[in-house]
Formats: sequence, C-alpha cells, structure tokens
Amino acid sequence: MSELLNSLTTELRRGTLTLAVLSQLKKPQYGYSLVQRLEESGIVIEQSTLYPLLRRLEKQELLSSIWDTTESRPRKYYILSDYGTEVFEALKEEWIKTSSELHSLLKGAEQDGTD
Amino acid sequence: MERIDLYIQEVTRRLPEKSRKDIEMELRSTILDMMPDDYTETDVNLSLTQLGDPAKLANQYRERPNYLIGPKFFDSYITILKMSVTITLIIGVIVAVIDHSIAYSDDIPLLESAISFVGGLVGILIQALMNAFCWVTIIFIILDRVVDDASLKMKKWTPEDLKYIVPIEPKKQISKAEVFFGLFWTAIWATLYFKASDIIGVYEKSETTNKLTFIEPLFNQDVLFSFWPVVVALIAFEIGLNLYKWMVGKWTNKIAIINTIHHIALIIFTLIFFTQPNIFNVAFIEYIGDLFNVQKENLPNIWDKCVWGIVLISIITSVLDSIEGFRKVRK
Repeated sequence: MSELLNSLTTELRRGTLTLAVLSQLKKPQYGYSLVQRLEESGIVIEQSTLYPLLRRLEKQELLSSIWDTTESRPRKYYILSDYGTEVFEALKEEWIKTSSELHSLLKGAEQDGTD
Repeated sequence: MERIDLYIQEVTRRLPEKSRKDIEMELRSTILDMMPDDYTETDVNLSLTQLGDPAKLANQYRERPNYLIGPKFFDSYITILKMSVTITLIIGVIVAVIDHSIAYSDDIPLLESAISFVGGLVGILIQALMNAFCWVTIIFIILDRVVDDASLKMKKWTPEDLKYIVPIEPKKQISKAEVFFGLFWTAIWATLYFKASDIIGVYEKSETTNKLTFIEPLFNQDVLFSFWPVVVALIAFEIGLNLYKWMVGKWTNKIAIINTIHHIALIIFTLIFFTQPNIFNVAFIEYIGDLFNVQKENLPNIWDKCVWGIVLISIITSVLDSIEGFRKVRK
C-alpha cells in the first residue's frame, strides 16, 4: 500500500513542479538558490530532477539563462522569458481553477460520507 | 575535489558531446554551492549523496528517449514483425527446396538427402528470420525517431472513421489457423512440385541392403519443369491470397471472388498439366501395370481413367471451396 501511495504521490506532484519552478523565476536564480527557495516554501524536489528540468524549460524557451562569471565561481542564472511569463500566468490560472474544483469535489465527498 | 571530478565525469560521459561542457560547469558550481567554502570530505560525500546516482542524473538530462520503439509505433511494429516472420518462413522454405533441388545428385540416398535438406532448411530459416527481425526492428527504431507526433495526428478521429472498420463476425471470420494451413499447403505442394523427380515415383526395397531405392519417377522431368513459371506465379498468387485473407480477417465478396479466380486458375492449370502428351514417365506406368497384372493393351485406358478420376476430384474440391467462400460471405 505505502509503495503504491508513494508512486501515486510522486505522480501527483510531478505536474506541479514546473509550476513551482516557474513561479520562483521572475527574478534570476541559480540552481542551488532555487532549491533553497523551494525548500523554504516546503516544496521538496530532488536535485537530480531540478537541474535537468531547468535545462528542459530553457530548451522549450520558457526560461533564458546567463552565466555570471564576475563572482568567485561562475554561476548559471535562469529567468523567465517573455514567453515563459505568459505560459506561467496561464498555467497559474489553470492551477487555481483545478484546485478549487478539486477542493469542492473533495469537500462534497466528505459531506456525502458524513450524511 | 577528486571525487567531485569523478562524479561529474560519470554524469557527462553519458551525455551528448555538445551539452557536456555546460552541464559540467553548472554541476560543479552547484556542488560547490551546496557546501561551505572550507568543505571537508564529509561535505563532499553529503552533497554527492543528495545528487544521487550519476547514471540516473545523466538519464534525466538526456533528451533522446531511452527506449527503442515507443508506444506510438509498438503495435504496428508487432503486427509487421509477425507478418514478415511468416512471409520469411514461407519464402525460406521455398528457397531451401529450390536450393536443394539444384544441388541434388542421384547418387545420394534418400535419407541422407533428407537430412541435408533439413539441415539446409534450418540454416536458411535461421538466417532469414534474423534478417527479417533485424531489418524490421531497425526500420521501426528509425521511424520512431524521425516521425514526430504531429505528423501522425494529421486528421482528428471522428466516429465517421468507423465506417472503414470491418466488423468482426464469428461466422465470417477467417481464423489464423485457416491462413496458416493455406500457406502450409502451398509450401507442401511447391515442395512436391520442385522435388517430384526425386520423391514421387516407385521405390523398391533392395534384397541385399534392405534399403529403399528410388527407381522410376512418376513424371517426365523435362515436361514437368517446363511449367515452372506458371507454378511460381501460382505460388505467389496463393501466398498473396492467404496474406490478404489474414489482413482482412473475414470473408468478403472480394475475397470470395479472388478465391474463385484462384480455383479457376488452378483448374485450368490442372487440365493443361494432365493433358500434356508426355507428362508421365512411361516406365512408371508400365511398372505399375506389371504390379497389378494389367494387360498391356488395356493399360493406357485404365491409367487415363485413374488420372481423370483424380483430376475430377480436384475440380469438385475447387468448385466446393469456391461456393463455400460465397456462402460464408452471406452468413
């Protein structure tokens, strides 16, 4: 049961990761700073998932990146592109809609149970 | 530091050349970010543990699929594979038979010849199957990578598309066994035709060695082989018909008509074949005549009756099978 629950939970979260990542990139972030920001909000993401995800989003032109070589060690900063901002807003709307729908659905189910 | 280098190497060596440099730089700065400036070996181990198995990480970075044939082509791949394996088996048998008839010499005893035939057959079939499997698989691996999803879904599915689908009706259905036996039958008679001068005829048991020896063939080889283009065409027709039956999966008017054409061709061929003046080996007829104590002057007459009896039976069978085809369509 717990194994199945684990894989279902992972599946449920997978789709939200993109949204979570996009939401934090209005200002430029490098890989590890993004990890910390997400963790502060309680979102746990495997680092081995996050870095490849960032590259994929860049390839899909939702993010743009720049290497900052002015500091002691070079860091790759990611930021939302114009297209990415557009997609993020639309995705956010979708999420709010879905979660409120699901919320009332779950609440309804709860009430059915107590009747 | 050394461990970090090794870790990065383990990731990047699995990645395409052009993205290696960038990923390497990014990974290195990330790993360093994860640790305090004066890091110890324990810190390194801790951060590498967080990043996890380098093979898995590399897999996440990789953009190309880590399967050979994806779900969009898998069904067609299996269908085409089954078909080509079947066709390959049939052609393999035919090639083996022809191959063997060319190589055959009269001095080799039947058993030895049969063993060498089976040996050759197995060799040819294994080779042909490997070829079929490899080529079909390679073509589909390429297809899977070249054809993108967009071009596959050019037209949206509508319920109208269903009118092109043949409904499955148990009574009209053509079973796989039927197709298989059809193909098997083709293989048998093709073998018999090409090997007739070595197989069909009189055998005699030698008193001294107790071995069966082939004395007289039934057919006159020259006349028999003069038919080969027609026979090859008939074989091709039968294989084609059976594969078409397999593809459609049920009796339709079209199949019943093609089946009838096939039988008409077969009847015409049989009639022409058996009316050839020198088709039978005279020595064989005489041998049989002696065996049954038939008087010489009666022999041609009786022989003709036997032959025409067999021809008549085959014509009746053909007619019945043609009618049966149409009867199944009407069911």
